[in-house]
Amino acid sequence: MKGKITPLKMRLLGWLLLAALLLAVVLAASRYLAEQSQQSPWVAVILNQQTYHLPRTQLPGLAEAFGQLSATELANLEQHLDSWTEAALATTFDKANTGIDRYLDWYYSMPGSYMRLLFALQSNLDELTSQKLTTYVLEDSGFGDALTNFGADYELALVSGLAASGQRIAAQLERGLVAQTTDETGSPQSILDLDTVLRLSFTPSPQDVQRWQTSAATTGVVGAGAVAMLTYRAVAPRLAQAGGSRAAQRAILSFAARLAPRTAAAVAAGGAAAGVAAPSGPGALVVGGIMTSVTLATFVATDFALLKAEEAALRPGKEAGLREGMQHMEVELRQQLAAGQAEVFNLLGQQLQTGLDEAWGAAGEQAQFHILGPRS
Amino acid sequence: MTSLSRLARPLMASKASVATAALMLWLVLAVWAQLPAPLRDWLALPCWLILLGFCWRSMNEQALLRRRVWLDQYLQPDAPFHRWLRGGILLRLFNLVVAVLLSGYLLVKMLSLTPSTWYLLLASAVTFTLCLSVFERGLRPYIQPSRLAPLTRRLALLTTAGVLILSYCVIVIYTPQPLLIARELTEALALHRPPLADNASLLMMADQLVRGSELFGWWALQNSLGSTSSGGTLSLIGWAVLLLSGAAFLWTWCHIMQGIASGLERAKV
Repeated sequence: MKGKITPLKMRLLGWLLLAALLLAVVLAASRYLAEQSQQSPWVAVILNQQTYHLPRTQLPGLAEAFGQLSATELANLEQHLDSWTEAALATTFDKANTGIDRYLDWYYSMPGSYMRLLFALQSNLDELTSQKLTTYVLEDSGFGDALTNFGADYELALVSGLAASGQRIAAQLERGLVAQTTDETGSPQSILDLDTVLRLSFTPSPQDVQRWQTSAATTGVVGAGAVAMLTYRAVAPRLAQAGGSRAAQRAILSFAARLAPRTAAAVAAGGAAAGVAAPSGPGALVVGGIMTSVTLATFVATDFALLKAEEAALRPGKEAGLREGMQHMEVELRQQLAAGQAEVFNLLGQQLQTGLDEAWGAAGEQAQFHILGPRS
Repeated sequence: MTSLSRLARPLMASKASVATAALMLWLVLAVWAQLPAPLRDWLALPCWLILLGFCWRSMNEQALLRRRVWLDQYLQPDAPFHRWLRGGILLRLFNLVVAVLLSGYLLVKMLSLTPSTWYLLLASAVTFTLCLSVFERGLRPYIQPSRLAPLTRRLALLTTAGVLILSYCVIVIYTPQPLLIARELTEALALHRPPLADNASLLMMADQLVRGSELFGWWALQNSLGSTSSGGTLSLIGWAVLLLSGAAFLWTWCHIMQGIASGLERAKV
């Protein structure tokens, strides 16, 4: 009775194998067809951490709405940032102008005058003027601080503006989705993750900001350190140049020019007094003291008058030079900022487009995770 | 000679019959898994009973053989302990519980199998039969005749299960998973599991549970990759869930094939 391999059994086995193979083929085909037909009914749209079931036919409309909304929002934000930059730069450079006034006040004061003379004689007048310029225009006026903070403030304005834009877009889209969504509980296999798109484009990470900085190349628009430090370092030598730091020799010459009439006046005044009094003995000492005082006082008074005269003659020109230098710098900075901002918004637009393409591409098929094996 | 050998050892079932029966069962299950929902629910119970029968039979045979060999090692054949410990209703009941769970799991898992795993099961039927044939021929000179058949089946089961589980690992590694990185677990479950209808049957709920566990494994695996915070525990859990659940399913399938072989021998086909 032991089971033998009979021809009948072999034939049965053969038929069964054939049937199994046939079923396997049918199985594979049905799976394939099912995967193909998955395209039709629903897409799960994730927005604000909520899932909406959307008919697949509505996807292009949603893409269009998203594109329009984000383009408008980005344009608005760019305008807003432009006016923000305008105002911030105006305030900042106002401070510099106050600083210039202070510097010139010092420049045409008596202590300033003598200090200039002293440094000119030591032939390091340039050093003094640029140091004083730095002190008055950059540091004391708050211009330097404002510049240093400008980068960080700009970044903050950009990031918060972006976040607000993202929220507005999400809110707008949500309103549309709630209207279009259906209660039908199909099984949506594909997912359109708008949260990720919005997060990637409208909530820049520190890495993003860093990337923008490097991408916005030399200017380094966004970001705390870059623009401010660059500008700060560029300002001082530029100021010195624009402020017309005089060569030491010219300073001495101008002082000498003042010195000659000054001495003559002083001696003349002293001599007149001597002629009137002409004392001798101990009185001579007193008269001599008075004379010296008169001479000195006259000297100082004349010097002051001459200094003021020089101020009246030269200060407007000097001030105009300094201010022009400042203005030039402001314009240049504004141009750099505009170029950098354009670059950043260009990047933002690209990022948004890539995110959208990826998200909509993923909605067409299921995103997959591969440990090994081919990635289709 | 023929009659003598028949007296000396239990008859081995024909390999062709074993292969045929395993293929038939595979076909039945594959067709059942493709059926529309109400019909499938109704036919689930008979399918389960068939699987349960084979699984239980195989487990009993293995357990009794192990027990018997162990007792023969130390006890006199006529000692009362030999009789008491031989394995009776308690052992069978325990095996029944395990078999109910395992075969139920196998049945439910059949609903969410990928095509590649179906082919793997098909190939395993062939492998098992081949193993039976090769081992029987190779072991005959060395094994006590009364133990030859169960021992051959035992070895064939172990070998087939080993090959199956290894192949399954390879398949798991090469099969793309749905992308679950940076998603909450609940979100992942909601997105990748068809929602349960209100009037869902027990079978559908069990299917939901099995799919959920698989998704959990994927989720744990994907979200722990390169993560420094989870310390690798989550990754370990992910792999364990994926591979142990697969191994349990394949182990049950091998037991069922052994049960078929054993049952056919009993029926002397």
